[in-house]
Amino acid sequence: MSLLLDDTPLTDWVELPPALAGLSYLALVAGAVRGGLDAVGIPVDAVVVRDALRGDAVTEIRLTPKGPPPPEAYPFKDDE
Amino acid sequence: MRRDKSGRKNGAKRRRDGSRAEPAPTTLCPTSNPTHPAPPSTRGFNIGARLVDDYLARTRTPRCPDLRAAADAVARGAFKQYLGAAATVAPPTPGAGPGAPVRAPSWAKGGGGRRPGGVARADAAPPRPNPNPNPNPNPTPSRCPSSSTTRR
Repeated sequence: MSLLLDDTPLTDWVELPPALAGLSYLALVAGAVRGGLDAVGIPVDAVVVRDALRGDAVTEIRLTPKGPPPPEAYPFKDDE
Repeated sequence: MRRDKSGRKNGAKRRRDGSRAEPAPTTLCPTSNPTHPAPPSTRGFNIGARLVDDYLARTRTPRCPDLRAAADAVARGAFKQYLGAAATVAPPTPGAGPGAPVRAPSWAKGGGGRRPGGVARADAAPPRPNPNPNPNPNPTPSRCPSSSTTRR
């Protein structure tokens, strides 16, 4: 699955200086998607494949499902 | 006493001078090297884990049966609510389809010509045409409703 974003505030109001041309600014959004879905038991990998901030036509965040997390070992660490 | 005191002062001065002579770090961001694409970062993970609490408290979203429904809820519900812009859900673009390595973004494959030199945006190549602009503009409503039925 891919999430296609036409325009986001992070694209409209951000301009990357040439020194930071390799910075993936939208990685924050991808990480938030990953963290949110992970918290509700849908583990995915979210990667920014295309970024409008770097000159692509649209912004694409690709979601690839991960396997279920390994079961927790018996002495559960609930206190930490 | 005096000798000790002055010795300490001199030592402190020397230390201060030494620290001043150290070069300041020049790179603002270690991942800004265009030739080495950044690995998938962990930024935003905790933001998302907190936002999903808020999202589930505000909307009554049932369990999503599959990833498609979950992505739909994220795109039309959560993105509109928290980012201010809705997204559309599409299958992965065929240009970098399932056979392509997922972790290598398209700009990292060296074909762009803009990245390696780090040139400014003005003389950059025009944006690539989207090979698959919106393959599914009207996705069928899934059982996992987005923001349309559930509002605050």
